[in-house]
Amino acid sequence: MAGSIGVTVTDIGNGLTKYSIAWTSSSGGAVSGASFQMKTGHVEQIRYVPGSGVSADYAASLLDADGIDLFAATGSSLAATASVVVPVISSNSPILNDATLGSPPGSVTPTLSAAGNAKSGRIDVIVGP
Amino acid sequence: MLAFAALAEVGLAAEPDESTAPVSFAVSFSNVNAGLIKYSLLWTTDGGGDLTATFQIPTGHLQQIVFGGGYGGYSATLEDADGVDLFAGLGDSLSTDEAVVPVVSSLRPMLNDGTLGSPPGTVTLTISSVEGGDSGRIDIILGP
Repeated sequence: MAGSIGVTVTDIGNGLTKYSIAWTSSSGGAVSGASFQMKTGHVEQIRYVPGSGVSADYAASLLDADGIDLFAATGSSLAATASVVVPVISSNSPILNDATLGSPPGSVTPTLSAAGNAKSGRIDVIVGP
Repeated sequence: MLAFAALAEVGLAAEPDESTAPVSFAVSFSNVNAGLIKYSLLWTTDGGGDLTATFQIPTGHLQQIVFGGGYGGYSATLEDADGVDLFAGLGDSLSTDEAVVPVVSSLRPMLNDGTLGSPPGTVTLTISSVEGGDSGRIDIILGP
């Protein structure tokens, strides 16, 4: 495991659940190996919020038990300022998390790289119906 | 059903300007239909053509924005607590009355997270480059 994460889960209304991932990178600029559980639902929006000094072009992914990136590669080259995206896998639907996968069910693993030495930031994943 | 945010706190700050042109800002909201809430922002800039004001909106997708006023070349942003422009850059260079939907993908409009900021749901409207003392209206339709 590299770096660390803390996850806060909040019901924000309208059937939406926010998973706020506060992350701190290792000396090598990475976060990996720590998982949390996320409910079944479409990923309505992702908010990437880098902290001070995070390197531009850092990368983030959210892998399910099959190694599918639930960020749908939207985190492959991130800016040093806050941004929001919707990870779509087709022209008519955002990506869907299947919470029956993994052990415990719904386990997903955020992974970051190239964020800089011991930097921190936040990623909010909003999951809807 | 959208949760209503208390709108008791509406902050207003305009950059100091030599002119004494009045600055004003007012927010009203109403249920328009089918779970949609309209936030109508009435603004008047200072003598330098600028205005910054804060208010609160709840969680929901921005289904439509109407920029009213028809002034040439002004700009408007609506930033949340993280500095994300909920207008998605569509207010960059406004010249005529315009209805837009701020999308963050090919299929989803911008989603406001009403838990961000203090008090929760705080957003900041910034108007710039209008002629001093001009006024206009922005309607935001917020839905589930």
